[in-house]
Amino acid sequence: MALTDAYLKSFLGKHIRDICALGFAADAENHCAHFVSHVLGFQFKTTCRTMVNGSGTPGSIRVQDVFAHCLQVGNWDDCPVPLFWGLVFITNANNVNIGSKQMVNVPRKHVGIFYGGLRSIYHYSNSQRKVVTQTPDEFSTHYASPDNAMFWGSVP
Amino acid sequence: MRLRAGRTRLLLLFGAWLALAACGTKKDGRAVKLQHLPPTPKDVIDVVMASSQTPMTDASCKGYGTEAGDATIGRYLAGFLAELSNAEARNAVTTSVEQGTESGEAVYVCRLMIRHAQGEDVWSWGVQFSARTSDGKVLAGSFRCIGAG
Repeated sequence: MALTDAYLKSFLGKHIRDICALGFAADAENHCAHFVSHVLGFQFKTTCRTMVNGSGTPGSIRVQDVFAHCLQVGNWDDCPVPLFWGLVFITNANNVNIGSKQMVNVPRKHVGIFYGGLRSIYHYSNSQRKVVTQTPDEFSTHYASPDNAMFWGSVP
Repeated sequence: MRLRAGRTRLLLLFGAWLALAACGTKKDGRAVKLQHLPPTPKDVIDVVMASSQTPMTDASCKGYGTEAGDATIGRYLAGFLAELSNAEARNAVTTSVEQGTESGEAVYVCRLMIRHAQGEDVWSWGVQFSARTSDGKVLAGSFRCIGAG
């Protein structure tokens, strides 16, 4: 699919309630995969429709489902240069099996979308309750070590 | 021959145990029921604790434990409860009850959520089950694992 910087920027500053038409927007939830899925149109496995009754297009809500859905995944440092945009994941490396594209459902895991040569990362900050953009270096502090290993994923 | 019969009996016993566990039934054969109707938060928590050996067979549960080998609702919830040890974090156990229908029966749809918030470490995982409004009996196979992130 074609993804543009302008489209991603249009989400900046938005609360998840302004993105999810179904109204799954409680601040107590981790909306990172939920945000990514609404942007990219992911509707597989558990979606926001599982959580709330509402009308509109649902989005997937679980990080490990998004990880498994990627065409290819790898360590962030090995992200291929020609890949102009894709997904970036952060969690403890012990929870990830790159070969089988599996991630264990530990609570501390997060996903965003990287874009462009600088790899700007767009993601839903659950503490700020809005979509933000960060550099990869900034994103790497999302969780403290050892839960801050980063991975890339390419999108079908 | 005797070995095969023994194995068959073992399989039948295991199948019966699985069926019991999946049918909202305690180990002593009594049905798991809500104590009050409509249920209080304590009743919801009580049912979840009594259902700890329920297998994680639903698609919403299978593979969503905090360890790859987690196979019961008890292990699934224990994995998230074990993450609440930091006293500086905002942690909570919340319950909710809504009326609904399942397979044509009027039910209470009950949820228990374990919540955690500390900086960007924000999550909420839990379970949902249905119990008949008529007598509070938990419906077989109604356990779902809910949560995002």
